[in-house]
Amino acid sequence: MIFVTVSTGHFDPLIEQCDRIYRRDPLKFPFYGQIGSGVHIPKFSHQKMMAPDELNSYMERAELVISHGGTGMLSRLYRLKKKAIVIPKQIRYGEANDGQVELAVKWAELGMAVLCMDVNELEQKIEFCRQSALSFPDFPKLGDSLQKDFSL
Amino acid sequence: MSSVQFVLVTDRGGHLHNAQMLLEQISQKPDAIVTTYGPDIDSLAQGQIPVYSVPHLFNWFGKLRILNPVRLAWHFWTSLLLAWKLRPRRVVSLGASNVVPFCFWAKLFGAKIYHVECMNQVKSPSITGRMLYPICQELYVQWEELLPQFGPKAKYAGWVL
Repeated sequence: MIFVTVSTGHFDPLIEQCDRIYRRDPLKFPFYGQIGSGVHIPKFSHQKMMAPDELNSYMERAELVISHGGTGMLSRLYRLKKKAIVIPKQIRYGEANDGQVELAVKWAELGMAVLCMDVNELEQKIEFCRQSALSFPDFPKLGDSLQKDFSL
Repeated sequence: MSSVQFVLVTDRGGHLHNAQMLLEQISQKPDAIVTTYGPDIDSLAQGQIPVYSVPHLFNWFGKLRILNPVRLAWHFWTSLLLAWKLRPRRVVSLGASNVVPFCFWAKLFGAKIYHVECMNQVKSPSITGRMLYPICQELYVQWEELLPQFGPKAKYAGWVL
C-alpha cells in the first residue's frame, strides 16, 4: 500500500494526480489516502481525517508514504524511519505561501526523503523511491542545551 | 498574585507540535502553557499543566490575513493580563507571531526570554524571530544555515525532534 497524506488542509492537485496514476494501474500503485478538506474524491480507498495513532499505523504498514511538507508529518516519518516522498504545498497549488519548500528541500538533501516539487513527476518519483535507500542521521537534542542555560 | 518559574508560549498547529517535542526533551515541566485556540489544544488542556489561550492577532479570510485593530487591542490586553498574572521568570517561545506581545509584556515584568525558531525556518528567519531577537536571552535555530541571519545571541544546538 502507498499511503498518501495531506494533513488537515487540502492538497487536491496531489490527490488528483494519485487518482490518475491509480486508475491507470491500481495493482502497481495501490494507494490509500488521507485527503483532508480537499474536494476531489479519488477512486482509491481514503479517509478525510485521521487521529494521530491511526496515522502512525497506516504509515507503519505502508510500503512508502507520500506526504506534504508539514513539520508534524515529517517528524512522524523520521521517527518511524519510513521511506517517503515529500511534496511541499506551494502557492501554485493554492497554498498561502511557500513555507514548506525550504524544509522539504532540506529533508531531501539529508537523504531522509525523496523530494517531488511537481505533481506531474510523481510516478517517476515513486519508482525512484522504491529503488532508493534512505538514511536518517541523528542530531543533538536542542532541549539538553536549553535546559543547561536555563538552570544558570 | 503569584510569580511562576517557567512558561512555554506557542501557537496552534506546527508550532505547538514543535513545543510538545521540545517538552519531551527537557525534564523541567512548564508551570503554564500559553497558546492560541485551535482544535489541537483541547487534548493538551486535559493534561496537568494549565493551558491559557490568547486570541489570534489576525483575522483570516481564507488565505487573506487582515490585522483588525479591535482584535489587536483585545490581544494586547489579554496577553498583558496574562503576563501580569503569571509574571514568569523564564519564557520559552516557539512562535508564531501570536506569541510576540506576551513575550514583550513578560520581559517588561522581568522574564528572561528564550526563543526557538521553528523547524521550517531552514535558511530564512521568521518575522517572530527577528522581533524577539532584541529582547531574548538566547535564540535557538534548528538548522546551522540559519545562524548567520541572526547576531551573536543565536545558537545552534540540534533540534527538537
